[in-house]
Amino acid sequence: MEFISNLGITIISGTILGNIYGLMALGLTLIYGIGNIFNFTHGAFFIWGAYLAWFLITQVHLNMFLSILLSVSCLFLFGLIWEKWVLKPKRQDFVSIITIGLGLMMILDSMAHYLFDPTKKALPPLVEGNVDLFFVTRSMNEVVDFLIAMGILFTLWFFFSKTRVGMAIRAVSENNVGASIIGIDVDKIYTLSFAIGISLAGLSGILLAPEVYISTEAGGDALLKAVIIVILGGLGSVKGSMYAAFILGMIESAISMYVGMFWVLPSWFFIMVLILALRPRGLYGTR
Amino acid sequence: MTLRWWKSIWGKATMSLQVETINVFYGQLHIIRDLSLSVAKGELVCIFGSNGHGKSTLLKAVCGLIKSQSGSVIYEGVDITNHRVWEIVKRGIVYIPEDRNLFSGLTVMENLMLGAYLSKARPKAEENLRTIFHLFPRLEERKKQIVSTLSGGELRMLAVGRGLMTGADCLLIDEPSIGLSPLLKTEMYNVIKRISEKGQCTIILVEQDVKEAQWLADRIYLLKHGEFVFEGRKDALDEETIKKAFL
Repeated sequence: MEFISNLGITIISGTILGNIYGLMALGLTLIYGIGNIFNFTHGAFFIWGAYLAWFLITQVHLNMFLSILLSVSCLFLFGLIWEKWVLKPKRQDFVSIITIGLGLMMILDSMAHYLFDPTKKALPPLVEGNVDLFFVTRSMNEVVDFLIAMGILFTLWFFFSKTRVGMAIRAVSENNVGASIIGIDVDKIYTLSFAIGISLAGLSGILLAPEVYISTEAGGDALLKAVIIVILGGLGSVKGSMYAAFILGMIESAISMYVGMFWVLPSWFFIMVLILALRPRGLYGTR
Repeated sequence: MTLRWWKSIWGKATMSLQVETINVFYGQLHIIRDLSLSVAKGELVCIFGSNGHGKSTLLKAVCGLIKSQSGSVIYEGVDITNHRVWEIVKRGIVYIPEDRNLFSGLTVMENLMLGAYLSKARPKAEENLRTIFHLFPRLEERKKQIVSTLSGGELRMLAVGRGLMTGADCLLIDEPSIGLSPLLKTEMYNVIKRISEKGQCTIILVEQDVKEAQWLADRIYLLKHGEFVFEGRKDALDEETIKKAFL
């Protein structure tokens, strides 16, 4: 019975983690797919999303969901401004983009350290209480996290497959010359995609924050995990990132349950190397 | 004010597209040299020349993909020389490249509907789609297929079809027949002629093979080393002139 219960916990936790990691990786995939650059600030925005939500909830005493909305909106706005005024003039210069990204990452980490002090913070759960799911008891917060993540992922699927702007983003990520010659303003698409990407990073930070402590060190781990997911899934492949996030979420849950948290990242690396040895472009990569 | 002056003013007033003494460089390489071109509304102009003499570069300079170092491009009375590519598409000029630049991970239908991205193209999207499927029935058969699975001829049809979906008044078509079988080549040229005969589209067609495509043209230009060596009606073009242009 204990085995079934543990297995149930592993599967449910793994599914929830997979969804949230999927959001995080989707943001990185989107930015990479459009601009062919890794966003080194992804981890920094992951923690900034959590810190902003923590600040608005615990210091300003705003409503939980309003705080989340405001935090994500702030990151979205920052992304629009940053991409348009700082990154856009340097878009053709690969080295400058990397340097700017690393610089911003350091600034954001330092600012978080200074503004929110180094002590670990806990974000209160979105919803209190427990719920029984298939012989397993889980917190309501985890269930709500899962539903929010699923809702966002469905919304993004609809956006990218059924809306004009979403299709334009897909077009630009496929072929930016082809997109411009049919009238798509490629500059605006780059800016919008960057803003969406870092907002997804921030949102995943908020959703994970009640389960883990918020700290400035968490950004590095988050970036590393996002990079592993994107590489395993295949560079620029949304479908690949989602599958990879799910697989690695399950692995994290199982390793945490049966071995220990310390072995999560090494196990992720091992799986990534194993799969890349068999499929060098990742699960669904084309590049 | 001489008669010649009045003629030039009248010419400018009736011309849809005017390219005036543009110069284009690739690094130090001078590709297009003081080149001028004018196309009237509804005209089908063919530009012929060998590989590497600047045909594609000329079209790319007109549509904004490449910036000219000097000169100007005027369309419907508006100087579009320094406009961005998508701004030029909004003005009504669309470039259909030799290398197609399609979205290979999307379906035929998605590629076509993306052609109607601009707000001015959307009201006519359904009508344009019917026209394209009428011109290229094969595209309708393959509308749910991913573009990467299409043949070379079908990709060419899709590139032209996507260009038509923009609702552009001026099409810049770059070597649409390259790599096609003789049968498909004829089919493609017939489609282009039908589009031109509707009278709504100005077309600049760039090709290598004069003999195969000159029948299409209202007027012909021959391009050699970035300069025009002939400009005139197709019946004024003789074998000697063609030989000199291609040797």
